[in-house]
Order: sequence, then structure tokens, then C-alpha cells
Amino acid sequence: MSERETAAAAGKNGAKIGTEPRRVEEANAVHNSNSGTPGNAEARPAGRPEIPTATAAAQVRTTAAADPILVVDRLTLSVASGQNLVQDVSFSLGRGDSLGIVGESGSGKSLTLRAVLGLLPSGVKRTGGEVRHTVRSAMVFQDPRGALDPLCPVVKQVAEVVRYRQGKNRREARAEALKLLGLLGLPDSLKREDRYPNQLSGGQCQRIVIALALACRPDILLCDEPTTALDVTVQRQIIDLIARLQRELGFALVFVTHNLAIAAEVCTRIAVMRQGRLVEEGPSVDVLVRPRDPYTQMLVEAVLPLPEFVSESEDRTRDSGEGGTR
Amino acid sequence: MTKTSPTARRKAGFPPSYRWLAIAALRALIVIACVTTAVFFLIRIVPGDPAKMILGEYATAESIAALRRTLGLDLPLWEQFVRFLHTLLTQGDTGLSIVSGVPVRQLIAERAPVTLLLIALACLLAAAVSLVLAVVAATNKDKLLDHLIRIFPAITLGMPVFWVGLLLILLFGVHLRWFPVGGIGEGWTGMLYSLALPAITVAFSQIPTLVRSLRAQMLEVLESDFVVTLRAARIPRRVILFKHVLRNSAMPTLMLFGVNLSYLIGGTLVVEQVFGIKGIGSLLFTSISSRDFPVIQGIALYCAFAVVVIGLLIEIAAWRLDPRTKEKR
Amino acid sequence: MSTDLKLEKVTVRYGGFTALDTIDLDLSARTTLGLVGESGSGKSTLARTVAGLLVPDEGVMRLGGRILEKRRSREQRKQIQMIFQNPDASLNPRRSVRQILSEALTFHRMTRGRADTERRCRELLERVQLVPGSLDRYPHEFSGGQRQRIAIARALSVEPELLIADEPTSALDVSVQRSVLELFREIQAELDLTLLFISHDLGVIHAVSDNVAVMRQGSLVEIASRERFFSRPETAYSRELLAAVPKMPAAAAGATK
Repeated sequence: MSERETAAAAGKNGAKIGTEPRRVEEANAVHNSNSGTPGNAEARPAGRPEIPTATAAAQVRTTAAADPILVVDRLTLSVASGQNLVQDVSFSLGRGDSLGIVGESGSGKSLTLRAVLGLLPSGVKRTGGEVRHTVRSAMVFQDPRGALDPLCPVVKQVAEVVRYRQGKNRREARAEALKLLGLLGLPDSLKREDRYPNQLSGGQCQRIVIALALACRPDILLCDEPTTALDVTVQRQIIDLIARLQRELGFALVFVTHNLAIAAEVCTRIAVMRQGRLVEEGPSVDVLVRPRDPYTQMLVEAVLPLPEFVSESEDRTRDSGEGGTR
Repeated sequence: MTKTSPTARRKAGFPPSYRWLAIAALRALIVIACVTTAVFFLIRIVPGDPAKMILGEYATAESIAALRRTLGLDLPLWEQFVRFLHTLLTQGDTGLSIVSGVPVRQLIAERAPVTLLLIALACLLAAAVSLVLAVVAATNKDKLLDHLIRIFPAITLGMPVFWVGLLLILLFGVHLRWFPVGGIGEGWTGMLYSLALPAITVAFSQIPTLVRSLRAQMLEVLESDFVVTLRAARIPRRVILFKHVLRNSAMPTLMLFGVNLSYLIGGTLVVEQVFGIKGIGSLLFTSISSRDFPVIQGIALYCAFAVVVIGLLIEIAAWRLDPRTKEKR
Repeated sequence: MSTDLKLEKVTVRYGGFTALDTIDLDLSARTTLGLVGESGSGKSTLARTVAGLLVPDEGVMRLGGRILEKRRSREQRKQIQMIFQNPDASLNPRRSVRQILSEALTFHRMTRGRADTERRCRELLERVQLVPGSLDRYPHEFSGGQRQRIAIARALSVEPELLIADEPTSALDVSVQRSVLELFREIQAELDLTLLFISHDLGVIHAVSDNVAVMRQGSLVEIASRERFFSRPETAYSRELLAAVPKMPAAAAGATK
């Protein structure tokens, strides 16, 4: 974590936007290797954020995965009274892509995700458009503790998913579950004694939920505000964890959040939703640096800035003398 | 936070389980004391003189007075109560029956097995049927089956137990002749056979509330986040339903069952009367009509005791089942 | 009049769990102290203790030199007001905004007569940027941000010297959050308030604070001026907190300036 910041700080000495282009290029590479079509139109401008706004806007319009594994086409979701909660939302996702859906409460971002998952809350119906995908999806939820059965030991819950999704017997499933938990940095004590969700911290519960999702071997991971209920340091760990897993396992990611910065860190593309409609969509850096829609501009401006702080090592070398002053 | 909290909690001195048990036992004792006291005074307030009942209509005033003296009924009420407490605490019993002179304990012991068996059968039946109906209703929410199951309690809640009993006797006993209309059969199978209709009758009174509670709980749990997680993980529906949903919704219904237990016991005593079963119920009725005070008190005492103890057992079971409450030891 | 808040070795325990561990804190008058910490760090306990909702097991608290006793005088209760994350906590849903505001005014005898109360209510609403017509409406008719403004108006009605805000914007959308934070800055400057502002969000803390205090597991880890804390945090924990905050792409962050 601290090394990441050091790297970021170091990068900033050279180019002002040191970290971001590299991130986008990474994703770009993944994309290319999968789709086989070199130089996807939508990712390229992100690598050179200096290009004029007009061009970027023109490019963003064409954003569509070349070989999509998920297509959301003019999706409309309504309640019985006829009110549309989500209206004409379209986007698509290629293998290994990552899309952040941002918006304020009531924007319909979580519902869109539930529609992709195919499990709408009762009372909400799809009244238009469609969601097409042929691959496995799994979901990570906002409230990690609520997402786990309170009366079932956590290892058992993961093992159960492994058992049914991967067709293994009980013992194999348990071994596989423990392996998954180890991969996600959960303590070994889970192996020895039964732990229930209420005995684990929020961060640990979220790791269990992620393990449940991974046990499905998903091609698309759907995340609904997975870090909102967590403390900042834990949030950081979970964000890094999801980013790392995506890199290693290569699943596509749809990440719903109200936090623009998190969306930009995790995803190569961002879609902005407002009152059930998609108002803007494009490469993360473009959307956040040169928002076209006034609502996106307002969201970007509402982000409270934080100054860069001097990292530990630099601080020591610069003024090792004045350590203890308040 | 989590790293520190378990140890912190232990240090914080949350009541250990035996302390909780002691409190529960004390509470149970108070309930039993209240019940016996209330019953003692209530049956004496109700008009009717045991001495007159025993001696019959043509007894002389002198003989009645003499019998009252022997039975200690001429004493002031408070002194009778002190005597009653004395027998209760020294012998653990309510004394001898006024009518037959047999110890109350023995009378009850003779009648208890059939009543206990009937209660057990009724409980099993009520639990099994409620479970099935609630699961069917909850999984078919707002469909025809659900509506049918929900109409059923609305109708039956208004029917008194004894009336249901009579209806069942008419239908299955008199018309269809599937079951005996009353009495107790010979041997185990005969006994079970003859207890079937009474057990159904008692269970019938419990099922509506149980189904309603369990259905509501299940619907709530079915909407909860963790069920969405499991469904998102494409775990088979039956596994979600029986392994997760049912367990999570069972607790409040189990508690309700504990609360309803007193009604169930009351219902059983009435139903015994309807089916002519010689259990605690018929003993209670004859005792009431002959104003056999010690027997009435004995039955009240044992019933209160049973209700309280079973309630306690259910609470302990719930507490052992739920890891969340275990934490708070 | 000096209304510094001074905490000396304040300790709060729940059973055997130490929620606040010998806290020493100086909050000088007319400044804003931003209190950060993660869940369970004790920051809300500290707020409640200062507000008098919890009684410390040990230690002394002083406001303007006078000791805050277990039983606060009416004057002291008036001096310290608190705003919660959920505005509904301080707004009776069955009372109109006028009733909510005038209740506090008349209880602390802040106004003379009906007309004076009415005038003051209107003033307060204007102060928190709500239209005067809101007086006859009920809390549920307002949005979350507006309700928080009403809660602020209620707290301000008794002219407190110390205002404690416990995560006042955490339940709000970002766009609303920004304007509520601005309101806090305005009232702090205009009314010479001393402000104890609690948040887990470092961006929020940066936006409102003069000084920053960091809490962890019931203890104060660091107190520093805002500039110093955000540019050169002293402790490893503070650095960890700061490093954990997700960053906007650099160019976007620059554009907002």
C-alpha cells in the first residue's frame, strides 16, 4: 500500500498524470489479447489524455466492446405503479473489461447491476430492453455481514458454493474453500474452528463474500458498493484486492460506487447514471478530467480534494530533526 | 476492533451462562408461585362448597359444618393458605384429595402418561404440518396455494377447540368410521390409534398461528441480502430454502411455540373431555365439579411447572442454536 | 469570553472495555477541530462525552475554564449543542419546523414573546438557507440535506459556543455534502463557534478543519494543524489513513482547483 503511494508520488515528479495512463494501458493490453483486434478505439485516447475534448467526446460515443460478453441494451426497469427506476440504459463489456457505474443515491446504478445478475428485488420488473450474456456472473455486495448467512460458519458457506458450482464432494470443496480464503488473505484460524459472520470484522466478511463470488469462477464480477460500509484502510485493501484479482484471474468487472475516485482506480471505463438514465460513459480519465455532461461536472467538482502528502521515507530524509513537534 | 473485542467482552463481565440460567430459574419460580397463589384464591372465591358436594343435597347443616371442620375449610382464608404452603413446601405436594383421600400426586401420576402422549403427538403434528404449509406458502407467495393456506388460519382461528373435536368425531368417527369416537385403545398401537383424532384436534388449534409466523419470517429472510448472495451463487433453491432460510426463520416461531404451549396444554385438557379420554383433563373437570381443591391446585401447579420448564428449554435451545447470542455469554 | 474546551485524562469504559483512554485535548475557541478515526476508534464516544450524553469514568472537562460536571447546568447545556449523522435523531417527526425551533428557543428563554420567537425562527431558517415557508412543514417533507440544515438551525437557535457535529454529512450524497460543509464553514466564521467536527472521511476533514486529531482504539494518536497533518503526518497510522484514500486522476483533481 505504501509502496503504491511512493510509486505514485515518484511518478508525479516526471509526468503529472503518471499513474493513470499506465493503468489504462494495462487494461488495453488485456483487452487486445482477448479480443484479438489490435488498437481498440475506445481505449486509445485514454493513453494520451492531452487530446482535445471534442475528439474525446467523439470517441466516447462509439464505446462498445468489440467482442462483448455482456450487452445491456436499452434496459428499462419499473415498479408496479409504472414509474421507471432505470430507463434506456445501454452498455457492453468485453472479456477482462472493467466498467465503473457511478451516481448518487436513487440513480438506479444498483438496480442495473441486479438486472445484470438476473435477480431483481421483488416489486421491480424489466419492462424494456434486455440483458444479454452467456457467461457466469457473481456478485459482491455492499453490506458484507448481511450478505452472509448469520447461522452458518463462513468456511462452510464458501465450501457450499464450491461444491455446487464446481461439482466437488464435501471434502474437496472444503479444501478448495480454504485455499480460496488463503488467497484472499484470511487468517488460518478459520481452518481450525468454526467462525460465524458476526465474529469477523467487516473487511474479513467482505473477503468471504469475494471468496463466495470467486468460487463461482465468474467471467463477470459484479460489485455493488463493496467498500462503502468499510473503514478507509480496509477499503483500500479491498480495492487493491479486487484490482489484483481482476488482473490475475482476468474476469470482467462491473463496479457500482458513488465514489468517483474509487471507480477511476478500479475501472478503465466509467458510466455516470442520474435518475435512472445513463448520462455519460467513456474511459475513466476522460470522464473525470473532461466531463461533458453538466451532472458529471458537478459530481467531479463535489469531490473534496486532498493535498499530496510527503511519504514516510522522503519525510525522514528531508527533516529527520523535527520528529516530535506537535 | 474485532481483534480486541472478544477478549474485551470477556473482561467486561457479561453474565456467564449459569448466571443467566439462575435468573431464568428464579423467574420461573416466581411464575409458578404466582400461578399457585392465584389458583388457590380463585377457586375459593368461586361459589360452591366441597363439603356440600360430598355429602349431597340432603345433608344436614351440622354434618356439613363437621366435614368443613375436618377439611379445614372453616379456617380463615389466610390460615388455609399458610397450611397449603406448609404441605406444599414440606411434602412437595398439595395434599390428599378431599373426595377420594388419595394423594394428589398419585392421582396425577395415574392420569399423566396419556395426556403427555397426547401433547407430544399434537406438538409433532403441529410442527410437521406447519412446516410444510409455511414452506409451501412462502415459496408460492401471492399465488393460489399461498392464498389458500392463508385463508385456512383465518377460518380456523375462530373455531373453538372442542367444536373442531366434535366435527372431527362426526366426520371421521361417525360417518367414515376411520377412527374410534372416544376412549383409549388397548396396547401401544391401539393407544396411538385412538389418540390420532384428539391429537389432530389439538394440533389444529396451533397450526394457524405457527404457519402465519413461520411464513412471515421466511418471506423476510427470503428477501434478505444473504439469500440474494446464495441465489447469485446459483445454489440450488432447495438447499437455500432448507439449509439457510428455514434455519434463520425458525427461531421466532420456536419462541412463539413456547409461548403458545400453555394454550396447547389447555386445549389438550378440553379435548380429552370431548373424546372421553381419562387423562389429566378429565381429572381436572371432575375435581372442579366436586370442588376438590387440592387436586385442582395440584394440576395447576404441575401444568405451570411444565409450561415454565418447557419454555425455558426452548429458550436454551434457541440460545444454543444462534451463534450471535452465544457471543454475548 | 474564552470558551476553550479542555479535556484532561478523560477515560470512558463500557464494562471492562476502554472506549476512551486518558484523552487530553485542547480545543481553542473559534477553531474547528476535525476528529478522524475508523469505526470503533472512540470518536463518537468522545463527542457524546463532551456533549454530556456520557459521563466519563475519570478525568476533567472544562469549557471556558469552568468544569463540566456530571449534571450540567442549563447554561452549560445551552453552550454545547450536537448534530448527528442522522438528522432525524434531533427532529421530532410530529412537530413542524416552527415548533422544533421555537421549542428550543423558549426552553432556554432565548426570546421574549411570540413575535420575537417568530422573528428568530425566520432568521435561523435564512441562516441555514431554507425558505421561510418551510416553517409550517414537517421534517419528512424535506430531503436529507434539508433535514440536516433544520437540525443545524435547531442547534444554532440557542446560540451555543461549542458545536459538535458527528458525521453530519456521511449519509448525504456528495453534491449535498459539499453545500452542507460550506454551511458549516460559514456559520463557524460568522457566529464565532468552536466546532468539533467528527468524520471518517479525510476529504471532509480537510474541507472544514483548522486542526486535525486522529483517534485509534480509544486513544488520540496525533493532533496537528490541518496543513501539517495533510502534508506531513507524524505517525505511521496517519500516513496509512491518508494513503488509503482513493485518489482522483491527477488531472481531474487539478481541474477542480
